[in-house]
Parts: sequence; structure tokens; C-alpha cells
Amino acid sequence: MSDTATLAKPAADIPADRIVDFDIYNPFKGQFDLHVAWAELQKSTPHQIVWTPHNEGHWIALSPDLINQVYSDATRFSSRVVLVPKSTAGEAYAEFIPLSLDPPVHRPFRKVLNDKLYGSAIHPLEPKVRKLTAELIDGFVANGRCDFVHEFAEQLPLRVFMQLVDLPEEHLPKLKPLADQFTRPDGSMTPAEATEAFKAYVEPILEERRIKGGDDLLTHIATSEVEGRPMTLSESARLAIQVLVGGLDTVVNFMSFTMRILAEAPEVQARLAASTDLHHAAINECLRRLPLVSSAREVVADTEVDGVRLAKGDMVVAPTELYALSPEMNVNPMAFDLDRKVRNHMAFGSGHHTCPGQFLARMEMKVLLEEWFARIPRFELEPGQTLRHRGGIVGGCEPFILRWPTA
Amino acid sequence: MITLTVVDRQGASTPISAAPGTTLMEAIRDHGFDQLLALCGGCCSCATCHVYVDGDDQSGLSEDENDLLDSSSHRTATSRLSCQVTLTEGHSGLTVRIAPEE
Repeated sequence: MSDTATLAKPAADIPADRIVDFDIYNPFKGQFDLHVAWAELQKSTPHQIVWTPHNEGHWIALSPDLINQVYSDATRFSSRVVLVPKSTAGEAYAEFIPLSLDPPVHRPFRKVLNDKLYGSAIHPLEPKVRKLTAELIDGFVANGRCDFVHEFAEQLPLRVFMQLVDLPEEHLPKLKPLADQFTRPDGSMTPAEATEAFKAYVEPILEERRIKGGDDLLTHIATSEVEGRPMTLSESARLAIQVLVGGLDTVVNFMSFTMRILAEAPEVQARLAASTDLHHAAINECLRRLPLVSSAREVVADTEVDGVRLAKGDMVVAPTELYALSPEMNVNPMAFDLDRKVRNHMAFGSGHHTCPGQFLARMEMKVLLEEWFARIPRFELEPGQTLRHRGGIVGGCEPFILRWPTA
Repeated sequence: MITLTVVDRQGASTPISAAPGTTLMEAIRDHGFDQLLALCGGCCSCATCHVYVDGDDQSGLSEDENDLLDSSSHRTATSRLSCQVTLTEGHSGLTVRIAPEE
């Protein structure tokens, strides 16, 4: 996203030392690591909240306490709009539910997702996920190398998700770029156009499933009641689109971040290869060290925070990255430490909108580590690559090559 | 202070103490039990703070908590979401077991 031509003007009462030059879609400033970029911003100022003119101008919460408040105090920070720039991506996304709803209206819609995404609903998927994971790894293990992002991370979670919603894998090349328009827009269409394209795709499918029935998540959305009445087609479409956007991006990126950091930690690899007992701690440490979502909330009414006035309608970006990477939340936060006793993070967010896909994500990560280390106990980054992260509402990894010894 | 016994997933017992008015989730988490994820921070949204409270009669269960516990494969007659249990002196001496991972 290119917004340098349209820097916003700060409100007159914003002190000069609160203003930073930080574009969440391109935060890198001469290096390529997303987490370093956020940590540098936090280190650059003593303040808990700063303002940037990029992306129409918005606040950025920097202290863990404030980041937590932004996500959990819906009375002050509404999720009606959760993306910046507000007038384009934000308003286009504000149609989607349940994320755009605040409590108590939010709850019945959220329950529709919980029904199909929490614990007992996810367990039956594990054998399928395991089979698919094994097939993917077996497909490249003898080569001694793989492009991890293309050959695995963009394959497994997307195919699993398409099974969950019972859509054909052939639709992925159409759906994935649409979903990415909201988290890392490429300028090829406006967010409003992406919303319209999604609706045109999903509404006929929902109508069909309302009649035909089935066990998948989209049928459940099409047939569920809220507050004792059926959902309207518009409501179920707006819920389904949110699921598609959420399901088609985050795990892809989290798996990529995870394998890249493990590739550079041979001693951690040795321990994970020796015992699956440590995999749980490894997943938790990856969630703590590699959070990747920086969503936003809209200020409900004029309010004072950390000595500055936030105006009604202002946007506040709350980086989950900085919650976990703040020294007051975790000792030596940038270190990857399998043996931490306490891990504070909000990789899945916090509050009423805590990621409902967290159980599926964790299960996929568990299966990945088990099947990977059973076949590839030692691996590394192929030398000579420039490793780059991507900024955005959901951060990502540019493709990278892993290599390992073959027999 | 209220004293409780927390049993982790490996079966190890640890005594903990907590002030009245804190939630059971906060009390467990503040003692460094990282098996209790409590991902949503305690607003009855994620079901990751699931515990078994010995002798719990389920009388304090809200509809939301009930729905979330229903989504667990490990629900029993003494299941609670620990973020929804506010500790009082009456809880002193209880044993709380962390439920298996989903």
C-alpha cells in the first residue's frame, strides 16, 4: 500500500513529541524484521501512545497495559471499525460480523462460530490434518530443500480451511487474494470492491446450503438462529466473509514465522526432535515471540490516555507484537526460550473478539511440528537469501528456502 | 488470604494463596501455571481456562459459561471456566485441577 502522498495532518492539540513516522504496512526502515520494527518504535519514545500521519492518521498504543485496554474495553474502544485506513479498508470491513459488533449484540453471532471452531468440534479434523501434513512433507523431503511458504504454509492451512467450510480447493486462487486485500492490500482493487466480490461469491452458496443442509461451517452459518430468529442472508454473508478473511491468512503466516525462527535455532531443533513433550512449550513460545496481528479500534467518545486527548472517531492501532515483546511482560523478550516459566502474550487477541480459530491453529501447529520433526530433525535456511517480513494488519513472511541433509 | 491446591496436567499438586475478590483464573495464572492459557484475559470468550473445581455444584454458571463448556471435549460435572469464579473465603481449602488441553 502506498500512502506517502496522503499523509494526514495532526490535530492541533497533539504534542510534537507524540508524532512518529510509522506506516504499519511498511514499518521496516532499512531492515526486514517485523518484530524488530515494532520493538524499535517502542524504544524510540517514552510514551504509551503515539500518533502517525500514515494511513489517514491514527494513534498507536505502545504499552502492554494500553494495548490490552484497547482490545478488552469495548466501552471506550469499539470494534465497529478495526482496520486503517479508516475511510477505505476500515469502513469496508465494518460490515463484517461478529468482529464489528460490540457486546452484548456480539455474543449470539460469536456463538455460531464457537459451535464449529471450539474444542470438541475441531478434534475430528486432526486425522485429516495429519494425513495432509504428512503428504505435503513426503512430497519434498527427498529433495533436501523446500520453499516453505509456497510448498507448505500456503498449502496446509488453506486446504484444511476449505474442508472446514466445504468449498473446493480450486476456489482458493480466487478467494486468497480477496482475503489479503483487507490485511495487506496490494492496490489492485478497493476494499469496497473486495467486499462486493466476496458477497457475490458467498451469498448464492449460503442460499444453497440453507436448503441443502450439511455439517460444514458455512451450512452452520446459513442455518443458525440468533436471538430466536434465523439470520438474514445479509447477516450470514457478513459472518461468512469474516470467517473467510480470518481463515485464509493468519496460520499461513504464523507457520512461516515459526519455521524460520526454528531454522536458526539448531539447539531447539535437537530438543524438539528428541521429544514431542516439548512441542507444547515450543508452540507457546512461538506464539509469544512471533505475534503478527496489529488490529485497531475506534475511540467511542473523547477520552484522555497517557496525558493526550483521543477524539471520538479516532483510530487506535494496538500491536499484539508489542504486548509480548515488552520487557515488563516477558524477561529478555526477543530471546526464543523454550524453558520460560511464564509467557505473557495475546497472539490471539484479548477480550470478546479473542480469535475463535485458536484451537484449529494450535492443532495445525502441533501436527506440523510432530510430522516435520519425525522426518526432518535438522534443517537450516539456505545461505544467500535475503529474508524479509511483510507488514500489515496481519504480518507475513516473504518466501524462504529451507534445506536439510538427505540420506 | 485464601489457600487452594492446584493440580497440573501431570498430576503435581501445588498450594497457592490468593486474595478474596480475585478470580480463580488470575490466582492460578499469577502463580506461573502456563498450562492455563486464559487467552481472552478473563471475559468468558475462549474456554481456555477450563478447570475442575472439586465439589462445585455448578450453581454459579451463566448461560455463556455453560455454552463454552459445552464446546469442550473434557467437560465433567465439576467443570468451570476459572475466569468466572470469583474467590471468597468459602473457597479456602479447595482443590482445583487444570483440565486437559483441547
